[in-house]
Amino acid sequence: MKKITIQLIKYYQKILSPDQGIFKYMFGKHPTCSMYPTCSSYMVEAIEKYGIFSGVRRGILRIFRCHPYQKKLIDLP
Amino acid sequence: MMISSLWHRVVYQPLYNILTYFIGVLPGHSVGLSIILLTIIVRVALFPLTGKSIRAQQAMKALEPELKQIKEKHKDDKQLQAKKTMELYQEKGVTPFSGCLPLFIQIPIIIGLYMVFKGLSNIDPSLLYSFIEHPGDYEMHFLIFDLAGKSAVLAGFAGITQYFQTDLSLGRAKAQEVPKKENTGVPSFQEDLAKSMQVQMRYVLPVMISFIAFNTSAAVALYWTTSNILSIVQELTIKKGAKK
Repeated sequence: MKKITIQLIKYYQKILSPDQGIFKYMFGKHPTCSMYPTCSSYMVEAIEKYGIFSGVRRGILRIFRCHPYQKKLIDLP
Repeated sequence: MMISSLWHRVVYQPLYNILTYFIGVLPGHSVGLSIILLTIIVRVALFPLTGKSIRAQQAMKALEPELKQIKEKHKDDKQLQAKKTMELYQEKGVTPFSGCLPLFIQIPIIIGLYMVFKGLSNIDPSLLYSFIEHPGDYEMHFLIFDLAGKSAVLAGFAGITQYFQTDLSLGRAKAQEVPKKENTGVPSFQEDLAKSMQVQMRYVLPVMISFIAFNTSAAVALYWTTSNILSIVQELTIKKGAKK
């Protein structure tokens, strides 16, 4: 379960992701993510660290922290 | 379902009532003017989330030499480059990009507007709040367009304004540099793909927007056109402000 989820996220990164996937050239010059690591990498690390449920929850909450008033741009799981 | 009724109450019904209120009070009970006004209000309400601030743009400009240095130093390691860049931003207290939350917030609102415009030719009194009056007769024509029907011209406007908006926000056709494979004169598959993507983003998106705008209704096309024009004005204002 854990492995499958992480693999799915990795596929997302390779294919769909606007930051790293094949569509990245459609967006501007700069990387699209405004935080480090990207939310998907964050979720992978969080799953490895806290397990599948807590990791996915933490990963989703991370997406909500990506807004224009975020000052803490380095945000590790 | 809970989510759909929540959305109905928090997004759909308020938008429906605001629009009906405007139709009631604006001269000639003009639906067209009401759509434009509602679009402006939604954009202004979302501005704190969507607007890139002039201050952040200026701060970015000031950081340019340092950013270049980071890029040079870590050009072989994209991950490290991203990390160092973020460290620099965090240290200086700037948030250069608006992030992805604003995008997610807009989705339900856009769907809401969409649904509201769809049901416009027949205002349903049961959806109105007690303090909003049914406007009675109202004018579905705006300039030469019938907002209840389809309009190729308005759909075309939506596409054209979308093109200029994308052009402005991505930077004029100054295509992004794609990593070149060393020592081969032939463009790699990745380079080819990247090039065609850039072209497609510019032209396919406006065509798609026009297509959707035509197939829904002229009201949606009018909303899209207005929204794009506002984006263009916003972008130009910020660019001008950042130059000073």
